[in-house]
Amino acid sequence: MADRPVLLTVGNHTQRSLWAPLSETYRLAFMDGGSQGEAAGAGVADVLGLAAYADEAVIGQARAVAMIRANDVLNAIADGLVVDPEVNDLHGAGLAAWAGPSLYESWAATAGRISACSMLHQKEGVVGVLVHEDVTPMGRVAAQWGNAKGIPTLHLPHANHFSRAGTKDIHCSTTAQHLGVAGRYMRGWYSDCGVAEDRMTTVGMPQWDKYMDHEQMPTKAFARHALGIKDDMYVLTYATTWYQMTTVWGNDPEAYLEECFSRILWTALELDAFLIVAMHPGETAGQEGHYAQRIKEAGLHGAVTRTHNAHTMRAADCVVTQGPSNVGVVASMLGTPVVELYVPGARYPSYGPAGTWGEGLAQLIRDAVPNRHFADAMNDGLDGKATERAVEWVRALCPV
Amino acid sequence: METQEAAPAKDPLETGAAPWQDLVADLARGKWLGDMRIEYQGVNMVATIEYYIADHLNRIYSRRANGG
Repeated sequence: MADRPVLLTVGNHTQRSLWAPLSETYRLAFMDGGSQGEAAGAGVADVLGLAAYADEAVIGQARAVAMIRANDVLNAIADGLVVDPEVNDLHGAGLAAWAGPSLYESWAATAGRISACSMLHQKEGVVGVLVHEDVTPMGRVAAQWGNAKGIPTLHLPHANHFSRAGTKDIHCSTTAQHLGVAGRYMRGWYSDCGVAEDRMTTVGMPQWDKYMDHEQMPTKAFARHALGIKDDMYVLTYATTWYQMTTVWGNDPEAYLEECFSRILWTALELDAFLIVAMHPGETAGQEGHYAQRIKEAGLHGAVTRTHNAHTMRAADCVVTQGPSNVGVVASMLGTPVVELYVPGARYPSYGPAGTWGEGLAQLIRDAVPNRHFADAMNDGLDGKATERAVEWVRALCPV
Repeated sequence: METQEAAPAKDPLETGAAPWQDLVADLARGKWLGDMRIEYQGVNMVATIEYYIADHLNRIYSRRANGG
């Protein structure tokens, strides 16, 4: 078993279902330590961690490289490098103050990962690189490193993206050679971003296979009982969001989202609804308490959770998502109607859920119906076999 | 409970991107470093920080546009 070649992967919970079947062909080397531990704990055989290939010499060299490179930039700033002469933080001392330390810390970590990848390849032999995104430093380093070494690089996106395709936003740029897309919506989105058709294969969204296992999904009645909700109550689930500043909102996101939550509370009162707040995993710690306090102050019955998506989506008579969201796809897969409360700069496609900036929200909720067509466009086939197709896609592109 | 008007003054999806979006994207892709090429073992080190630079610059320009 130990003679299997290595597939280098960032990890991430969205690809959890792939690990066991992929381990029949490859030894998996994880860049993310948490995923490595999770895979080992789940009994995946011969799990490797990239960190083990970053010894003291590698780390020392990485720090030296980062120091030299960051110093090159500081020297350039001292010699007159200006980003924007009208903005204090973007020229002279203001620019140097954040650029120096930020670049050193980022590049020390990056150079360490690059050297560790090369050490792993030298010792074990890497035949493929699999990422769930290639825009943040870890995913982009993995994809760039694989490309530089002539090793196939594969990107299985962890979510559909709803910002306008074809802009210069970072999510429209791709580094990995191959894309395993979830459905016709994602294929069209990346195509609009300039990705050639022959780089894309439609596989579906592996982490959603579980929602297609109808025997394992809770019934509406079971989900309500689990959340302590009476059968005859109207249930509104509000799926919150967070904001990435790589996608420009054009106004103050925090204040805007707070205003939106006020509108949700008001609408829940109008509908005499039990309100479930299904939090985005990216929201800050402690935000649970804020939502709970505001529900209590509004005189509503409700629940707040970051997890249990199957229950929070199934228990609802309608789900309102703050902006377009992949959790709205999950709700649609489970047959629950969805309404969108808009955010600036991103939107479901025209065949997706109806939406509003707030006006007429209660009526949109009352009128909403399940939308299987939308779910199918986001997760091709809705057959629960995306993991199977994704594993075959990896094996075809990364031959042993 | 008092309701508030949730709609922002402008929606970039309908009115076009925020005026600094293309500038930020170009800068984050390395323009801010001029002609400097920074590579390590064949990896473009500038590209590895694009996400953070885009985030940082967007915050700066967004704050500035909002009077901060």
